Amino acid sequence: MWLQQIILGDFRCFFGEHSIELSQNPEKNVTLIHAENGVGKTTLLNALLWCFYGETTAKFEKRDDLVNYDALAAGRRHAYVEVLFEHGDKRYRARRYTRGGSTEREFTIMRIDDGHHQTLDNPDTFINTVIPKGMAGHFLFDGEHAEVFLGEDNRGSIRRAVQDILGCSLIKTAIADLSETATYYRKQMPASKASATMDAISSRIDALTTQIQTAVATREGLLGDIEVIDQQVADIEDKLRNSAGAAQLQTRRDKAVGELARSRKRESDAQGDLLKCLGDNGRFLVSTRITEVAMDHLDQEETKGKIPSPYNEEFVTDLLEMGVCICGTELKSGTHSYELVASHLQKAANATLRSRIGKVRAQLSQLKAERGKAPGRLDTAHQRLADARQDISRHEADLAEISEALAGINFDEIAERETKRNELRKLANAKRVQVGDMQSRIERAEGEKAVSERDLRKLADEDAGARIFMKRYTLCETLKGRLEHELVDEEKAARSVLRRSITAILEKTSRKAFRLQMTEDYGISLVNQAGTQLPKSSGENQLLGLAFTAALVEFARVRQNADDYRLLRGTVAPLVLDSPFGQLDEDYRMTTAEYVPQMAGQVVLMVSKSQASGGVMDALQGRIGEEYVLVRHNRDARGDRALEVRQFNGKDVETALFDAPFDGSEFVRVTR
Amino acid sequence: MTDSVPDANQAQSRVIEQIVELQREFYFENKGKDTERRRRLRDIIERATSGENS
Repeated sequence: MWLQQIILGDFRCFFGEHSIELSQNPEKNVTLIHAENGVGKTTLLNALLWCFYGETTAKFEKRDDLVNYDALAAGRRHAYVEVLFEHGDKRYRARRYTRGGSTEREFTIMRIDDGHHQTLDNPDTFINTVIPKGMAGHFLFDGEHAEVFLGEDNRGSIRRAVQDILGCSLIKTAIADLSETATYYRKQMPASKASATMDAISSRIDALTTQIQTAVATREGLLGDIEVIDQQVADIEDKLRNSAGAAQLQTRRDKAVGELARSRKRESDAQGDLLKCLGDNGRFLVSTRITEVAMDHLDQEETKGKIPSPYNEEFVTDLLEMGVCICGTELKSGTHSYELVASHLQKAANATLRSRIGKVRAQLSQLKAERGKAPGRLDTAHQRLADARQDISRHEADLAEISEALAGINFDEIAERETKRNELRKLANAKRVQVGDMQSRIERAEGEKAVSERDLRKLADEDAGARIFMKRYTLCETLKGRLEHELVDEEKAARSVLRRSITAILEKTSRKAFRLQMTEDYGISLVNQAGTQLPKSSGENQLLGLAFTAALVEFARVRQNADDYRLLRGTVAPLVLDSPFGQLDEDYRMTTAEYVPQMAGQVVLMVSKSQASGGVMDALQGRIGEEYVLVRHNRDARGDRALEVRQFNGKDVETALFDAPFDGSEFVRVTR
Repeated sequence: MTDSVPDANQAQSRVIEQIVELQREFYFENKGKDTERRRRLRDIIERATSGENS
């Protein structure tokens, strides 16, 4: 989709009809809108959302109050937003009126063919194929969007964002429907002789399901709390790092924390090695006595000629066939001599027996040889574990000493910060224990639920009336499980793509060496070389929010022709960025401004005066195709207020007008 | 016996296809009609299990 024009009619702060043309030049793909707070930046962003989907963002105040007050005073009752856009080589006009504002439908989309307008039958369906609603919020980006990904509930937000761009809506509703339908069938089991027991089991399953849901919610809440606490600890450590009196100790702590983590990894590896070593060598160690006795026995019996047996099977058979014993006695079948010689066959050694004895001897010899090496191997594994544990103790003692030293520095709030840090860490650890407890409860309840389901299935199998409902219930549960599994796999692949994409963007835009961490449960953070998380408030993290958005936009583009029936296709859409530079310092603003035009094919960038600093404007030079200023009209008299005049591309623009005939905003085009 | 597991998997895959198609139909055109969508989902499940019990 490429936006061509947005027209606002009596919509919120826009009195009468106002329009804005957007740049469609791929080389100059940025439409820059200068606006101070409260002039209508958020309104423009919400006008787009409302036009396409009939909804505004949750933070848009007075969401049902869309008609401009002066328009109402002038007797007009309705607002509208019209968007002209291009999609797949065709031009379209989308228009939405507030309820009752049109003689036709509130929302229409017309295709414009050679000047003729053809109204589409299903505008909602069409707009969802252009930009699925779930994805739209990631293209229409208000300033706080980046922080949503870094806020306290960021894991959930990040997961939802990944799922939105992945187009998982169909799978998600299918899973929810299957879950609901499974319960429906379970409760449909008819009354029968076993029904009382089945009812009881069914109720137990309901109770366990509730227990699991509650425990999962508590666990997620605790994890969220831990994330917030960890962030507070990281913020304190950052302050200590930047405080002259504590910097050295904090740097020492960063190093010790990194070394402690490495030592713990070594401890875990050494424990694994030790177990493997015991598994591999245990038999050599415990078989010492058996090996010795067996070898001695073999040797003795061989010396005596008992092993292998002194009689060879082939030799005895030959004598019987020849009919003559070695002493010359005739061996005739049925005679006593014949029976006597033949009886030796029962204990005669044959080739198989000799081979077996050979193998036993070889194995005993190997056991003997390995037995000599085993204690050495075990000692080495023990030593590695002991070394790792010794290192852990050393680093822990070092960390305790550092903490004590910091807590003793009574200036520049260092002691208070260190005390607070330790309290927070204690609190986080207590919550981690609670997380473990919740996890055990979940596992126990899941185990019990599985047993109850098995019991129910067994009872239903024995009951002809219930059998069919049990089959349907089982099918729903099986299909739900399969879809959940597939969703996890898709998300895993998506995470991997996003991780690569974000890392590449950060490499282009950041000047410090830090790494992106994205865990399986969508914890996303930046860590420095010492492995310490950077504070959420840092410029680097604001950059991370932008990089994440850029990665989502890119992922949606890559998926625009995706051919998976379970997923909605991705899309190419304009990116509307409202005040994206927030807390970035001047250098980061410049680097980010250089990157913004590359974030999407078409970019609408809204900035305040403080954000559109010289560096930002220099970085955007040559990429701006259209430029506007949002001017505020006020009915009030100017009074003592100073004249606000700004210069844009050589044009003087008064950004706030007084004694105006209406209260509202107006676009003034200042394109070079 | 060895064929029955892949057969069951294929049959389930076909049911999943029908369910996702149903979700797609309602995602684009019948938003908000949850009851109707779930009724049709039950139809799919009942068709898929009726053969085994006839």
